[in-house]
Amino acid sequence: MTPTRFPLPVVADEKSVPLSAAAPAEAPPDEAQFAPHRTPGEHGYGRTYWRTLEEKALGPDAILNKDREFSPGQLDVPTGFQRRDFLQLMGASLALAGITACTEKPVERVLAYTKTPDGLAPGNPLHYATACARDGIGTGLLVTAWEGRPTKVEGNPSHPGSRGTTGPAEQALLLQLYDPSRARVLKERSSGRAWHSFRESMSQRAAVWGPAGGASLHFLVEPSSSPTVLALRQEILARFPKARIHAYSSAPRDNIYEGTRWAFGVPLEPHIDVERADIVLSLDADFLEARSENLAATRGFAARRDLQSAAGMNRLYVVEPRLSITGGMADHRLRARSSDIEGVALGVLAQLGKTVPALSRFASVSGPGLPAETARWVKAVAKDLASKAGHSLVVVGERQTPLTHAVAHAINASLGNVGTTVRFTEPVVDTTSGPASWQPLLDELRAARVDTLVITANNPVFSAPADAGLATLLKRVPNVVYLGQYDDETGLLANWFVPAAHPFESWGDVRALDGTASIVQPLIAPLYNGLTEIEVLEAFVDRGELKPYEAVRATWKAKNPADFDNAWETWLSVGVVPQTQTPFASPVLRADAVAQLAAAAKPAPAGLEVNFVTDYKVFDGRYGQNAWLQELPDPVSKVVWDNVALMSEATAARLGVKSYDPISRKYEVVKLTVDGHSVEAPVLVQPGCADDAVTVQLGYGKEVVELLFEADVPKVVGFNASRIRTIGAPWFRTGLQLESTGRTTTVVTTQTQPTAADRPVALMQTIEEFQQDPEAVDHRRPMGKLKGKENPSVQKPVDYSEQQYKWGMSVDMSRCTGCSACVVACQAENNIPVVGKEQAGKGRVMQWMRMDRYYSGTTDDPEVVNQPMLCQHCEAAPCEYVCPVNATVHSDEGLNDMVYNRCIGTRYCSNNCPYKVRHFNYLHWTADRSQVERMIYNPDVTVRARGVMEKCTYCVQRIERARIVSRLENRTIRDAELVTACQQACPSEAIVFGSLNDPNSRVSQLHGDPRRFDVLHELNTRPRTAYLTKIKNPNPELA
Amino acid sequence: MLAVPAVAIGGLLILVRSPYGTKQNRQIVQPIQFDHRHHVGDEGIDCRYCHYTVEKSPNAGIPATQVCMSCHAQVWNKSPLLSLVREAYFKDRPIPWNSVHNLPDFVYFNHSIHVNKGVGCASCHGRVDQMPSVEQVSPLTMSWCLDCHRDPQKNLRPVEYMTSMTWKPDPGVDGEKLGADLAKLYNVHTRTSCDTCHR
Repeated sequence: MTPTRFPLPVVADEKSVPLSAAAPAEAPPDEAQFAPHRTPGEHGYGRTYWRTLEEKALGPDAILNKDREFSPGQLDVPTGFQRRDFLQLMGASLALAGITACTEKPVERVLAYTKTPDGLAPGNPLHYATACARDGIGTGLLVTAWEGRPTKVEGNPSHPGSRGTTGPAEQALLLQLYDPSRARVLKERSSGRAWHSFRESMSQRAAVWGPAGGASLHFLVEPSSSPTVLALRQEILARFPKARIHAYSSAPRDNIYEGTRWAFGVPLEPHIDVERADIVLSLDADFLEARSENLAATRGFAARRDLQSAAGMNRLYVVEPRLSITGGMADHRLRARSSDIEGVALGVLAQLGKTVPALSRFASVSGPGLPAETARWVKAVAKDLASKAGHSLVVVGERQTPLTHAVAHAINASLGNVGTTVRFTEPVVDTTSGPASWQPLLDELRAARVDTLVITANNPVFSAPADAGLATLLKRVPNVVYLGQYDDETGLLANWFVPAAHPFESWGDVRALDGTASIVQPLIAPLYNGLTEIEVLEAFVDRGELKPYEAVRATWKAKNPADFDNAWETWLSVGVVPQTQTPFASPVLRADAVAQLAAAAKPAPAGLEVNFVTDYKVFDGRYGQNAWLQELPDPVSKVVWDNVALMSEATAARLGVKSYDPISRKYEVVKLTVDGHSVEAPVLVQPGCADDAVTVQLGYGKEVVELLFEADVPKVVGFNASRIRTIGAPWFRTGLQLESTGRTTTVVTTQTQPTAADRPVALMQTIEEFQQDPEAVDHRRPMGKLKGKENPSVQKPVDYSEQQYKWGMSVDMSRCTGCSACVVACQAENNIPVVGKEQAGKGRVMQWMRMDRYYSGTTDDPEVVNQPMLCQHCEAAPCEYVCPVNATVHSDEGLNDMVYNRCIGTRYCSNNCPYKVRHFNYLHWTADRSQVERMIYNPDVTVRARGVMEKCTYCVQRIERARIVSRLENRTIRDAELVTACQQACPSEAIVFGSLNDPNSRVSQLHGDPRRFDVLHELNTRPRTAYLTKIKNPNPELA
Repeated sequence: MLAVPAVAIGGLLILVRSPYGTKQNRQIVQPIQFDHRHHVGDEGIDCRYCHYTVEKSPNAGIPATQVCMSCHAQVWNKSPLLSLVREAYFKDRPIPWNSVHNLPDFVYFNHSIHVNKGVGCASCHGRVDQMPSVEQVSPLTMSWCLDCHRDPQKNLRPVEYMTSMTWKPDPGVDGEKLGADLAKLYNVHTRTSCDTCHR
């Protein structure tokens, strides 16, 4: 018999040395041994890149430190049964087990339709145009549906806002549709009720409000641009003239409209055309965040980051209190507390007043005294803005004061930018949704004059500022009606809880901020008995009930009587109602008024400031249940499943906050107090934050709804920043007190590994550096040379020139903002599972794409370069020749195929991958999925079980579909026809995919671009994905 | 000593390739006894009348009950043999057919490209017009698919005869040359890369 144990000596594992212990004296490492990390002249072309503060401190040798190579817990051996024992026990029975299992499969049923819907061929998806809205801001979508179930969201190419792209939130909207924790039951208190009972109850209650004209009837609604909803609001007010409708948003845009009112006399909606701007100054305006209203701006901005664009490269200045996505794209960045940004704006105005005749009336504006460095910055920016008068742009974020907005409008108007880089229209959404809108409601509630409060806003009890005391006030209201997606904090206090329908289950209409209207059509009948806002509001009008479909049709029929039915069909199929854009207004600047207000401006108080920002992922909390978004690393801080208090290194030091402890790998928890309200938060030192400014993200800390989608997720994710938010200062205020609690907590960030290591991984250069560095151009050809010598590869080059297609991709880092829409799009398209916080902490995130964010420069003012990293489909792939079962092989067209059914889970391929883009299913992430949760899967892509490796496939399912379509039509695949999921979602068109054998394809042109380089090309892997260097356009005066 | 595992593994290898292992030639009992001999053989109904998505979709598809009723609302519309069909139609419940040609889930097969490039229905599905209940006559193993993908020419026919159960090249026509001509005419380029079928 074969011996079961071998008399070999056991080799003990070395104990890894903790960072804090003194390093024992040992021989210095052999230089030659680590040569691949030290290619001379290759480095970072004059820059050192780092991802975490530890990496910056340790320098390029950080990668040699064994402690940092793996995330904590990544190398954990499973407890209990060891693998060897298991195999020995099972070895004997393996041969006998399941002979019949090898051949007998259970009989599968084929359930055909009774009547096949028109136009549907089972096996082929259909695409429906629809739309969704957030706080009334609509965006057009194109949803892919397989036999009646939607599986993927894209932007609608016909919609002027998105032009076919989406942000992360729209991509993740799909997951919310199938979320089993959504509310399902229409309830009165805790008893289930029917819809007609609700309607009857409301009509009976009308006897209470009716005599007083509706004085005790109040609505707290989500801001809306929907013509049908706005018409219903008018009908309600016509029936009950004293009823009050308050718009509520926890991210109000009030300051924007107030700012235009101060500058032009009427509230207006500013629309920026960034593509036309040569110089852009952003005052706390995160216009490159991939929200639906920013998609057009992102596209326009990216178009001008191209060195070869006809109009030349633009320049972006950003002033902000924390590092944002837009700040990462800035050519020059000024850190300032939010309270001080008004002063910076006034400084720019004053400077322009002194130097530009058109702004001479503002010469007397002095503005607060600015520090010398800031003054120098302001001077250079003003000069730049003036030099491109008519093609410059000052844009202000919704968080800033109305005066800052007014000052920006004054600058834009006086420089002649209005009409080119910025235009104005009448607003299409409610212009007040902040405290100014619902403060009167609070007064009524306190005076107990509210009988019925109908809430369609998103969970106001959770997100309202602490001093509103909404929860206490609502308890006294006799009749609270809440239309909610989840049984959340507000739902607990409701008398009538109406489960809300998802946008993909609803009929409705929305308008984008520019006025473009789209009809919202449902993709699927309500899965959970959901109802729409239209239906809830209908319960308060006294005519017969109109179903949402009829109500929307009635609204639009009233506008367009001619040939309505044909027009309706076209609107539904295209997704856009034509000629609904609001016409541009021609506002006149009230310069004297602005000058007076500017003169009266008071300097901001000193002290520690608290900043509230909407989260990049969950916005204000409405997407908090969305596991895809929770698991998406924050584009800047890379935090998952959590929110944190961000501050600069200097501020942390000043406050005596240590933040991160490398021994325990935990983060310090501090107590933040504002006006007596406090909340505890972990602290993360974020490079690029302004001093004396602490930034917290809204939308976390929900205590009521459990995240059921993933089992191993803590009940409460993050902390509720609204607890220290006050009515008077929804966005920022000084007067923050911070003290340490002495406790630590685990915060998971995904970019802890030091990967730059002084290698040219993600490159960034200024225009001048790039153009004067001819050696750089040479180095960037994928030579695969190491120290001048060809780096040998075991795989001989293959000639792909005879193939019909040679697939390749290019990623332009000048365009990439790091918004991470591609990451979520890939997750949706490829059935990628969610792993939860604990497994993410072990480095087992399953997303096939990751957004690597590299800093360069100082901790206080870092430069940022974002690099989406995905499988490079190397022609000489190191993963392919180590697979013992040939599960990963190279296709004839250059794709690195992953064949899941062959994979046995050795993980040697991931070991060998230099880019670390392979992900292993350590656990069975897709087990125990309910029927509804399984509906989200894309049937064209395998759903992986435990034990197999997966990675980006260049969307092989899309390639194969396009191939078959084109071959049936006897032609080649057109360049524009085939897009990968990441390419389709990217708002800035940074990702381009296509055939390198087609000289006219965009990807071929980009592969020939002088900015092109291959990541880790010295390893001679010959990747098919090329990256283009990020180019910066600094102002020579500020260099 | 090594003979025991060798025979066991060898036996398994043979077993999965045998008709028992590939589930060939089994009469699958269907919930309604649909006889192709009558509908295809006697009535001469083209395959695509019922399996109408075969030229456009990866799935040929089982027809909707409405297709059955398109004739049987008038023909034999009171027959007890068709009562289950009528019941399914009027109750809007699907008929639970048992899948005969059931490829594993990790195989992504596309009908439309095959039939449009000259592979006839009978080449893989056999003489359906002679089957009382449909059985799987081909092994549907990967090696069987690869045999054709490596040399498709001998399995091609003019697409006009796609659904013919009895087509053979005319006598006097060189079958090999016909195959080569058709491959050229239809631009047949079979791929054997893994991602052709496995994603």
